[in-house]
Parts: sequence; C-alpha cells; structure tokens
Amino acid sequence: MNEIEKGIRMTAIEVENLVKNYGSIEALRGISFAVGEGEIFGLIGPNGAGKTTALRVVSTLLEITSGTVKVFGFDVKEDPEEVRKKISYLPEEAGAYKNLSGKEYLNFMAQFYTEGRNVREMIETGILISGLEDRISDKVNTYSKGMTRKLLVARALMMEPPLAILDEPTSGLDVINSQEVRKIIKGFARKGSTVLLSSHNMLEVEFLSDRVALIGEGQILDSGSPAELKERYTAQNLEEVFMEAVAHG
Amino acid sequence: MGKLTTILIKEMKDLLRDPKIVIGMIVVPLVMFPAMGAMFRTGIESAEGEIQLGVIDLDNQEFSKAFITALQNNPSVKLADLESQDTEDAIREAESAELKVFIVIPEGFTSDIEDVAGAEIEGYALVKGLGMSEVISTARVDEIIQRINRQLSEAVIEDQMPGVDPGNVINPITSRGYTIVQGKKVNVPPALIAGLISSQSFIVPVVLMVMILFVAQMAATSMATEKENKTLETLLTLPVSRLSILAGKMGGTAVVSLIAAVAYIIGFSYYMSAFQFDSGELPINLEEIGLSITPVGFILLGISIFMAVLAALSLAMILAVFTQDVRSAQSLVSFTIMPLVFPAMILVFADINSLPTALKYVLLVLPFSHPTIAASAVALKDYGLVLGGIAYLAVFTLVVLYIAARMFSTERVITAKITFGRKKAKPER
Repeated sequence: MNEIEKGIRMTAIEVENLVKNYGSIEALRGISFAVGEGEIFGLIGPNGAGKTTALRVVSTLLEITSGTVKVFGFDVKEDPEEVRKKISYLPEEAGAYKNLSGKEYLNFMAQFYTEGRNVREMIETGILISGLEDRISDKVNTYSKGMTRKLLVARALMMEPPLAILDEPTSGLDVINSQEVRKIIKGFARKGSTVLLSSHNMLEVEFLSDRVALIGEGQILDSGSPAELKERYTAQNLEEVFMEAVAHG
Repeated sequence: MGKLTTILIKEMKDLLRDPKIVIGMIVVPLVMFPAMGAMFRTGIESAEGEIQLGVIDLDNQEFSKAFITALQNNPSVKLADLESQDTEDAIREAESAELKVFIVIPEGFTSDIEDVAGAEIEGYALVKGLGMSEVISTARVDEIIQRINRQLSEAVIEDQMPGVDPGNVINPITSRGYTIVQGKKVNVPPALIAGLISSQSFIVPVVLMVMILFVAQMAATSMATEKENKTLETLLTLPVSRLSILAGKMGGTAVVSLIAAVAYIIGFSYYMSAFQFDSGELPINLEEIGLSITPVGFILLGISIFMAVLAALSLAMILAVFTQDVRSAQSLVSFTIMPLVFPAMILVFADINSLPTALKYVLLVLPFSHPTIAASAVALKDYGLVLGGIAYLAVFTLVVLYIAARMFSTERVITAKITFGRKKAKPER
C-alpha cells in the first residue's frame, strides 16, 4: 500500500486550499484541514466566518472556486454522486415536509439509503434517536421547533452514514434538548462514523469534538484538539482560545 | 421502489395534503362552478316559467279583443285583468298584485290597425332589481308581442291581399347560405359551421390554458415550498441523481395538476351547461364534411398538448429556482407564463392564416399557441402544420428541460435569487 492509498484509508475529509467566492465576496480564502475516520471535527467561529459555506462545499451543494475537497477519496467536484452516498447533511435552518407525518418523513428519507426490511429497521432507529415515539405519526406541521430539529437530527443519523455533516446541530433547541442531541452525536461517533460539525457555541464544540478548527473571515486561524488549543493559548475554554487567536491572527 | 418513484409519491402526497391546493384547486372548482351554474339555471328557469301579465284595454274593440285572446291562448302567459283606467293607478294595482309586467292597449288601437296607421301598445316593466329574471321576463313579453304582431300582420294581409302569401309580404327577401369546406359544398350557412368548429376549437385553448397555468403554478409551488420550508438543501445531498429529483418533482406535480385541471374542467362544464338549452338537431355533422378529428389527429394533438405541459413544467421549475418563497414563485410564474399562454386565445376567434403576418409569426414563436393551432389543423387534416408545431415545441421543451437540468446540477439551484422590491440579500457565509 503506497502513501496515497494509506492516506485515503485513514482520511475521511481532505480539504486543500479551498477558496469559495460569491461574486466579488470571498467567503473562504484558501482553507485546508483533514478529518480522520471516526473523528468528530468541529469548525468554530462567529456568524459569517465561513463555516456554513465550508460544510455546504463538502456536502456537494456549492461549487469550489479553487482548491480541492475529497470525501473518502472522492473529489466533490468530480464525483459528487459518490460523495453523496457517503454523507448525511443536516443544514442549520433545515425543515421537514410539513404535510407528512414524522414517520412518513423518516420513511421517505430511508428509501434513499436502503430497501425492504432494512427500511423499517432504519425508521425504528430514527424514531428511537428522535425520542418522538408518541408523536411520530402526527404531521410535522404540528411539531414544535425542538421536535422538528430532533426529527431532523434523527434523519441525519439513522442511516449511520460514514460521514455526518452537522451545521449547528442544536440550533433552536433548549438546554435539555441540546444536551440530548449532543449525547446522540457522541454515541453515533462511538460506532465509528465521522462527524464534521459547525457551531458558534464554542462550549458545545469543546464538549463534542476530538479536534477543532478556528475559522474567522474565511480563514482557518488555528486547529488542534481542545486540550492542545487551550494549552497553546493558556486559555480556560475555547471561547478564550478564539479571542486570543483572533488577537494574534 | 425506485428513487424516482419515491420522490414522485412524496411530491404527490405533499401537494395533495396541502389544504390550499386541495380546497383552492380541486374542491372549489368542483363545488363552486356547479353551484354557480345551478343558481343561474334556477334564475333562468324561474324567468322562463309562466309570466303573469297585466292588461288594461282602453280600446275594447275588435283587434284589442283579438290581441287579448291571442295572449290568453299563449300557454306561457297568465293574464291578469287590471281595472285601473290610467297608468298611475295601474302601477299601484300591478304592484299590489305583484305583477312584473303589464301592458296598456290605448284607445284607437283597432282603428289604427284597420287604417294601417301603426298601432301602439304601451309596456310597463316593474323592475325591483337588475337580476336575470327581470331582464328575461321583459324580453319574453317583447317576444310574445312580436309573435302576436306577426299574426295580426298576416291577418291584415290576408284580409286586404287575398291569395298572397303573407310571409312573402313581411319578408320579401330570404337568404340561403352555402359553405365550401375543403372544396365540398355544404348546404348550411358558414355561421353554423363556424359555430360547430368553434365548440371544438374553443375547448382546446381554454382547457390548455387552464392546464398550463395549473401545471406551472403547481410546479412553482412545489419547488418554492422546498426552499421556503428549507427542505431543498437536504434533498440535494441525498444519494439520488439531481435529474431524478427534477423528474420526480415534475412527475408528481404533473399528476396533481392533471387532477386539478380535470376538477376544474368538470366544474366548468357543469357551469357552462347551465347556459345550454335545447337547440334541436344539427343539420350536419362534422364527419360528413371532413372536419372531424381522426385517431391520428387525436394522437398528434395529444403529443402537442403533452409537449406544451412539459415545457410549462420545466419553465416553472426554472423560474421557481430564482425565488425564495411560494408567493414570489407564483407571482413570477404568472407574470412569465401568462403572456406566453394568453395570446393563443386569439385563435379561438381567428384562424392563424387569417391573422396579420406579424401577429401570425408572434403566435408561431410562442410555444403554447401550438396545441391550439394543432386543434383546428387536425380538424382540417393539415398534419404538416401540426408536425411542424410539435417539432418546434419539442426543441423548445428540450432547451428548457436542459436548462432546468443544468440548474439542478449546479449550485445555482441554491444560490440563484431574484428579490421582489427588496435589496439583494448578502450571501450567507
């Protein structure tokens, strides 16, 4: 096995010099990072830093201006359909089909990943993750914001994708529901799946992530494990790390 | 189940469970139109029933008595004698008797007829509203008087010109119309044939317009709902080709639009049937004069309509991609599709070849005119024109489909944006 093959086996995401422009606006200015298989990798930064754009590029939604992005060795530009087989993306402001019931929504999604009996098993897993057993047959338009978000998290994780891309996974959730969702994500990663997540809640990312990248104004300011970063900046938490990184950056 | 079918079924479920679509596009046409038709019909029937007619005979001579007898013999007239001797009293009497119409035969009526000096009667309609029944009652009294007039004229002519057919004196000239259709002489006036053809060529553009607008609105709604409810991004990252997503959405939308269009047409035809009355047997049929549509014609017309619907679907999908919410999508689609569909309505009143050259070419360039052109062209067996239209529509549809597919396979499906009256939003980072 040569070095490149070894790299493909071990790396879930490889981002190199990624530039993304919206017309004259530079959203990402040549960012690079790599995420290993089974790792939870967090992108942290304030609103407008470029986190969502980075996740959308990895999810094949946005085109690359320059640079390369590979997911399990598949180039997002050359093989987007192969990339989509490996990922499950949860957008920050996602919704579910309001006229379907929670179960119908999970059923609809499950059919893209498996078939026959496995669909039912996948739905059962989804219902379990969502914690919506009592309300799963109700229409989505009767759900609260928190219930809908939990349904969407369940949808993203029930198929146990090799890579889950979660943009602000606890967006709009109260403290209790946020904690529940964090536990679900942790448990999911323990099974060997990779997670790429973003949040502006740095404490959340610190709790969840094995490694993090600090992103600001479209650039990666620093990266490492939360412990490494706190030591490097002699900070108490990632919030302080980020403020220091911005001051030095 | 294939992924395409999965999307198609979801699309249908989602649309058919939307109360706005079910009530607005299916239930309302099925209930409202027949209900409106029934109301009109009731109004017309009540006006068509027996008319209560008051009469004041101030003449009381031979012809006024003959006139009253003629009215009494008319089965749809119930005569009420008024005792008043002047109009003011008569109005009050008619009001208390709830009469809608009364007539006054003035003194000298008989002598004026005998002297051929032009006799007059006065008709009074007591209008309480401007409803259909008031208008029809008055018109029917006029019609009855016209008939009696003719009877009286015939009586006078027979009396004064024995041996002469009174009809020839009243109408010295009669015209007999012939029509030449595709070289065949038909013993009916052109108006009758035009009427027969228009019933055929009227339905296609109307039905087509309804279908295209429904299809376009539904497609725009379906696409914009994905954006408004923030489900599109998730859908686009699923392991299914973008073309399958596009095809599934278009297929689901087409089926629901078809259901809505059928509901509309059923409702509308019930409504229209309220205005149709026995017109007797038609003296000709279209098959005899070579204007019927053959099975080949129907197939070609079907292909033409199918192509137009497909073009409308693709066009609406492209337009909806540029909008962020359902309302903007529906407005944009209406503004864009209506001007492309509406001009074809000209073809209900005029043949494409009889239009000024510039207008003719404008209609030929507009894709949605072609099924309407095809509707009369298949009746005239002008298959060249139909095939040309289908070829043009096919090219147009392929181009629009290609653009739609391209948009779906690039980031433009997410980033394209038209804002209505608001400052362009900064892209999200």
